[in-house]
Amino acid sequence: MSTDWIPEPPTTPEELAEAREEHGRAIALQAVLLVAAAVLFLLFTLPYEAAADFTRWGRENDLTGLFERFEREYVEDADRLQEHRILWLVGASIIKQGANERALNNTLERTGSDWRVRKNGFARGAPLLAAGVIDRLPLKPGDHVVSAVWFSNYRHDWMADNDSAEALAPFLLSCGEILQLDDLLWQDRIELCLNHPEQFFLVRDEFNTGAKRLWNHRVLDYNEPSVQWVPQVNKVPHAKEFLREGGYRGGGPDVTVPLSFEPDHVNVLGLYRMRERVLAAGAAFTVLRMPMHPAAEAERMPPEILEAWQSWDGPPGVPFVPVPGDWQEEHFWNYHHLNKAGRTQFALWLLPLLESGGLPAEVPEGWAYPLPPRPEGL
Amino acid sequence: MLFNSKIFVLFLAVVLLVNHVLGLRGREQSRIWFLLVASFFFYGWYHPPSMLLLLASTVICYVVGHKLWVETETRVRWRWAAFAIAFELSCLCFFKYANMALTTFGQARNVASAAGLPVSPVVVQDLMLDVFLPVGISFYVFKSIGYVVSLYKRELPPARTFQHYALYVSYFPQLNAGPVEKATHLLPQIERTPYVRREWVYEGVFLILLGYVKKAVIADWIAEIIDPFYATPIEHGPTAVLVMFLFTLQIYTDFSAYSDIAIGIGRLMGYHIRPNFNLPFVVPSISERWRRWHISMSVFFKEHIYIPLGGSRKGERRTQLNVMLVMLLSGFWHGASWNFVIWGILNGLSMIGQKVLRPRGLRQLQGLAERGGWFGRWGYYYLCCAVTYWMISMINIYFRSPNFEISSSYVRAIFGSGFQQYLDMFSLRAWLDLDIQIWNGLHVLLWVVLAHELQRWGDVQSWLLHPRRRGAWAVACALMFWSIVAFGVKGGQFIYFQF
Repeated sequence: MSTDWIPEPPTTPEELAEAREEHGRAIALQAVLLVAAAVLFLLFTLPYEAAADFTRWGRENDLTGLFERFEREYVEDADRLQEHRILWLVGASIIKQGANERALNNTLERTGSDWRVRKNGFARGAPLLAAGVIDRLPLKPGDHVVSAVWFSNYRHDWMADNDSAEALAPFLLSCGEILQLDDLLWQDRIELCLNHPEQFFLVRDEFNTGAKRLWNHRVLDYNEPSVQWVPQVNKVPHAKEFLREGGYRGGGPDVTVPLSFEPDHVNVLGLYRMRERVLAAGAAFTVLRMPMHPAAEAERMPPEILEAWQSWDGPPGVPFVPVPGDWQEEHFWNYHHLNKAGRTQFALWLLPLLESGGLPAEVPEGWAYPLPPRPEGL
Repeated sequence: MLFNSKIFVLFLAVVLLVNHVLGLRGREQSRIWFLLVASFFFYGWYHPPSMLLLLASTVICYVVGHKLWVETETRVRWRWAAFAIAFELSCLCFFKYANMALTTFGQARNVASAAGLPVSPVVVQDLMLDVFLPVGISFYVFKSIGYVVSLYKRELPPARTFQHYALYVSYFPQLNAGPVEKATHLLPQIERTPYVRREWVYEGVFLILLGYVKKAVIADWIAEIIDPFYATPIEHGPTAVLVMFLFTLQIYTDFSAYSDIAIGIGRLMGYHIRPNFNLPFVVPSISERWRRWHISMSVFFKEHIYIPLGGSRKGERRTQLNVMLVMLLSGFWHGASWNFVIWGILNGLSMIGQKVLRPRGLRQLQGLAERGGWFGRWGYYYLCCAVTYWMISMINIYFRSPNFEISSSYVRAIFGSGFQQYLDMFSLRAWLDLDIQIWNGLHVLLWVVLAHELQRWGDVQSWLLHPRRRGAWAVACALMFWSIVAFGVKGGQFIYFQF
């Protein structure tokens, strides 16, 4: 059998001498390339330094930039916003992907409705972040703000008091905490620390910039075989939340949602702040509990957590409406987000309710729902 | 330790440094011991007890190897070889297949009980053993068996020292997922003082970066797209079919990435590992694909099973039977699940089918194509490639699905209404309804096919590695490095680690 991929070793003294000399050069070349790789890596980090334009751009475009874009659009679209009553859909990806703004508006226009829909979803979110968005909406009396959230978005340990773009976003599990987990193997502590979550790096100046930002590019991505290799992990409740086995990974491939749901976990402060701001602007406010993929419910969510989530009525004083309907696999494109069929079903439920004024909502003091037609010129 | 983990990057830098320093100082034995310790450290990073099994396997085959060399009586030699092979296969069977056997036994017993036979039902979970599957066991068991068989056939002398043999078995770049390098190829390289040439450094760095691009930029990203669909095959029509196509892309980029990195690291140390893939992604037949895919395993099966069974020397029917048996064993080797057995059977049937049951219409089409000149031949070739890709993707449903239920429901999703789901692919509406992620995946698939064909027609890699084109090499490497950094190494496990 041919072994042409293996070069013949040097045999004669001349060949040996030449090979030895070449060997030294080849090793020197490896050293040069290693240094070059390090230099190149550091060069790549320059755009990620805290003061770099690229970092600022990323930081601003994540939240502040998003708000700027909203505001720019509001100015450009001011006429339409004033002419109609607006249903503001505000929240995370669950609403961003759960509603088709253009299709909803086409339907509303075709049916001669006074309502129009405006969606302000962003990649990830939590109630306090949504409160920050609501601050920037040109709300007017008669509008209706609907925040559609899901199991994971409620948790207050996702974002601590993240009311603005500059706010602090903590780790889900810090390196300090990881190192204190006595039951973990030391190898895992090292790897956990190297891979600590950083999904909100863009909102914090001192957090993962430069080389550290590139090195810690991705969050922890534990997989099942690793869990098998480290059986002790399962005995650590705090660490267990991080792992796929027994842990529910929601929101996308790079976000691990802690595996528990208690009413105490809910960021009530954030929800109340959203409500206050909406009511202060004279608009109505509703929070929807979005449907879940049946497989996520049946297979990936522990029954006790599912039950706690499904039986929860929401924080007192906040209208909390579970989206009803027969939600099947074909309505979702992944475990969390609606696809086109799901968006259609969601719209078919939402629009008639909106038109009839039957959407349960908290309304500002002094007026009843539904509102009478607005006076001309409002 | 995973190749695509940060700890491995540090590990590799240290190993290369110490390896070369010891080599330059002429401390060859220290270098071998260092590489051996490093390889065991690499292997035992997550589960140190696994090292004991690797060590036991190594010691037994090394001792048996010497016995086989000094012993002259055929019967005694046969016994020694049988003992070593039985030990290796027992380890493999116990750690890999024990729970599969127990589960099947429990399920069969429950079926019998439900059918009214006088056996009591059992809780299948209670039968399961709490055994840990050592990573890469299939690979080093095959290497050990190959070594014993080579000595039995007197194809090579036994390893000069224990540490040389142990390093051959445990050499870290190929320990977890191959290639399954033959002792006749790698052991002599380990036993002589290696030397490195600059062109090998350029090639090694290129291959390592290419491997990381395949894994981090393509395979892991494709996995994110298709994993939800294989968890529960929820989509029908074009989506189900296209997700199936995308998995074939994922497994190719994932597995060949590991081989590229392993071969690249070997080059940097002066060791030459056999190429494990030879452009297997766009091929005109399943047989051709298996000649180009996971070559080291295919060669192992060919040399140790197919040829001893008679190969193609004992008539047409026996040849087909041998092919079927090899593919069945290949499926079984891949994983302890009936899905892999079905996967192996389907591969075997496809190979036989393409050869034996080749429809007359296709032959006529081939004749017609050949009359059509260059364009006809080209069109016929790519038509065959497309059909083969479709067949491979269909078969791979059983490879990818976590269990038989999911794979069955996936197949039902595609064929639920006959071929309607396929016909749906040609409707504009179906394409417009596709998820944007699937569009993105198809976009990447197209680029990989183009790159594959460019390599096949123009050997771009050799062009880039030519000594007069170091500038082009540097640009290509910098671009690959940038894309790896920009996309980020996600740390997803290589698919073939589980085998």
